[in-house]
Amino acid sequence: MKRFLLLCLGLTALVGARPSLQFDKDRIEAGQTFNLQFIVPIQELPQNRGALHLETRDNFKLLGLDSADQVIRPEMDDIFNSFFGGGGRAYKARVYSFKVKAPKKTGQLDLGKLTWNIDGEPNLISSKIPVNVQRSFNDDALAVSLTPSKKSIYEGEQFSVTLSLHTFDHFQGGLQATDMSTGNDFIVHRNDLSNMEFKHVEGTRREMKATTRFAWLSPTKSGSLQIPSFKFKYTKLGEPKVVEEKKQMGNMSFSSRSVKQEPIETETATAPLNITVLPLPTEGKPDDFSGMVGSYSFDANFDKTNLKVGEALTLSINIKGDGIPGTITDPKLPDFSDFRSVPPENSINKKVKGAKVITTKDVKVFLYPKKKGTFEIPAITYSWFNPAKKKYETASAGPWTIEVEKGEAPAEPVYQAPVSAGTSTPAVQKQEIEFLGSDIRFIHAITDKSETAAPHRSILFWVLFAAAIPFYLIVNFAITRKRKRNSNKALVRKGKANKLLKEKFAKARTALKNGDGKGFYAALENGLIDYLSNLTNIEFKGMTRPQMKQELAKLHVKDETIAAIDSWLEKCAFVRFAPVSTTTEEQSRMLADVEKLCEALKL
Amino acid sequence: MKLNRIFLTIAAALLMATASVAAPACAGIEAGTKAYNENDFERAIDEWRTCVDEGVVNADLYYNLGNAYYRSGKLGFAIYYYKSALRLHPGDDDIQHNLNFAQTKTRDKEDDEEENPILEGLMDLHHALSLKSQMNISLVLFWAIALVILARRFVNGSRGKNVCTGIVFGMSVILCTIGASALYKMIVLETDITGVVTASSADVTSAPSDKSQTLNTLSEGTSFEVIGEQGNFAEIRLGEKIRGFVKLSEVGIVK
Repeated sequence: MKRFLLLCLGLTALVGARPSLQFDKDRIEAGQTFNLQFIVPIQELPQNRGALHLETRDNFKLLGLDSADQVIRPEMDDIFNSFFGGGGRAYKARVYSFKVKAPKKTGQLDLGKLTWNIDGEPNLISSKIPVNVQRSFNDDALAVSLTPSKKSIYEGEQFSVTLSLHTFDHFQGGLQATDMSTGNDFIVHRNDLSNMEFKHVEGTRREMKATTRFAWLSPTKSGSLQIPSFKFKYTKLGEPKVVEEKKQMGNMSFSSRSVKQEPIETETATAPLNITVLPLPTEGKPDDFSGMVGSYSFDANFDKTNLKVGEALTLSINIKGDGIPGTITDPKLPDFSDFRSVPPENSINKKVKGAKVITTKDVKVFLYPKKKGTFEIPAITYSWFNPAKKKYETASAGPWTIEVEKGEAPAEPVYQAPVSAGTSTPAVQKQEIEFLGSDIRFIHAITDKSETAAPHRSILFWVLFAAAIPFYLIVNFAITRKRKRNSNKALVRKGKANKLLKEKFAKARTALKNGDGKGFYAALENGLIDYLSNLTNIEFKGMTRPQMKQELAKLHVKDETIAAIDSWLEKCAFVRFAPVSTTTEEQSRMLADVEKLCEALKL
Repeated sequence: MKLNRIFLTIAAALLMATASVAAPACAGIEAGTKAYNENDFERAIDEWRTCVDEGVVNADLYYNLGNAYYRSGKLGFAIYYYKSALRLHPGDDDIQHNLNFAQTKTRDKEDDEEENPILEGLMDLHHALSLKSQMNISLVLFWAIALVILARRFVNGSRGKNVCTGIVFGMSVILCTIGASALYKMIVLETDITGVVTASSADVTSAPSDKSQTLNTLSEGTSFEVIGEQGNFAEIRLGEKIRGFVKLSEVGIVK
């Protein structure tokens, strides 16, 4: 055999041809069929050769073997080498093709061992054929899975769920969780996923893997429950596509081919997780069982057993366990009627310890003895169901004997309603029954008046508020107008003309009543002249009658009106200064006539 | 004449406003007080609740209801009614005292934040007058400013005009101060809605549904901020950590 191999090497050096193993595809994808080719130059085929035997490993499956004689032409690299003095000529060879199916597993795998029977003895061609199996571009570039720590649990028992992510070669990034809801049937404590670390998968080029405990859950009911699928979004590289491009440069046209892979946004999801939740056994269930399932510890202690009235006694209770994350029920406390108590202080903490979430509850009950004496506090118990032991467990603390001595502090104030002086409402007065701030203050007398918490919603208020603005504007406008008007004396005088005339007529009537004839005519004459002066803003007093007539004519007063005025003025002057006397009736008629004249006068 | 008519209209409007706030007497008020004085707190609650159901909105009524609930051991309702009363009379010392006292009895304690003494003093001034009083004073001041500006037009001497200007300036400063305080109160009233757990406990859930996950449990009397209402649930926030939904039947919303 050594001779055969030496011969092969010698011939290889001479001709540039050699037996070789190769694959018919550049990329071998998981689950796909490919050919492993064993190429032997014809002149190197052994004379007494038997069958080739491929012993597959790593789940590769041999489907068949075929052989054919082919002319093997050197590739571009070999041509380049031959040009510079190396080998590289075409040669005839026998090609043995093993049809093999790749496993679903990806990574650097070993296809198997190849042997050849020569001279009746098996000769090893290759002890290991390394193959890099990759995922198909059509398959998901991200594999996600959820694994529960237990598939069958008790109601209220804590279990955890592990999330695994595996990215393949064509994964590009942009990983986002679009739905990670655990449904409504579980109380959940989620882990911080920001610390999730991806690690390189050995034997692969670009594959990464991350595994973390996603959450601790506790079912709220029994039966067959399901955690829905978690959904993720990411980007992967698509199938390579040959793209042909044609370019034109002047009169010449070129065409080029390139392989392109487009990024594709894809979604993937975990399989829904089915959990069987068993109901808690009814047998042996303690009376004080309050629903906690897990492994718990319970402790209760008083800070002292001897004290004085007025001093405080503190009962500290500590419960710790790995049941429902973040929840621990309260233990049933004994009757503390001999003590005054304030509401207990509760604090709950949860912490991840190992593979579990441990919840701790601390309760502090503050008690103040009401009187001196010896008080027996019974034991405090707490029960839970231990799923590991499949039985109920109970822990207890106490009993205690508390000795209370007489102290200096005042006795416990006892509430008493104040005695009402009567049955009617006013008897209720504000009284403070406050004892050093240890009670509420007394009730108020209620008035019938209804109030509103939102007076700003009253439209009436805003109307009244806004009304100030139009009020101001209207009044301001009125004042301005009045002032403007007052600044025109003629207009003011004209405006007052009627008022002054009425005053003069009133004076004339008084004179008429008193039998004062001269006074009557003087009032009548002055009234008429003043009325004319006020209407026209021309001083008629001191004018002669012809002057007056002339002025009235200029103001386009009708001739008959001018004549009437002149006649009345003449009459008045005549009666005033001539020694004639008129009767009261005549005077009344004259007054009425002058009044009519003035009313008819339009200037 | 015109001015007289305007004044008459304003007077009539004021009369109508006064008449609109007066509500008919509720018989339960007296009966409730009598029952309370006889230590029959359950009956006092029934009587006073009848008045509340009839639409009587009164801080003293709410305060008394708070007392009756406290005495009958219903801490959640007591706090709810104290808070309702305090919303109507923010400066009432009795209401504040009883609310503080009741809150010390709750299981979930609210953290007391240390306040700046200056800020505390300003807040005391802010609450010295109720919103209604502030609004009434603002209304009077606004009208007074308008009248003084008008009166200034009738004053002849420059000294008189300066006095009027000074009065208007002074009143404007007071109006702005009271107005700003009232505006702040209005914003708080409209935006700051609180709620109280009235049931023995209330579950805070992740969504407004009975099937949703319970995030937390609030004990009776715990106060929280109400963000909104969705069906039979209220979206709430308590501090930085607790946010979720509670059933409206288990809480009281102070409106």
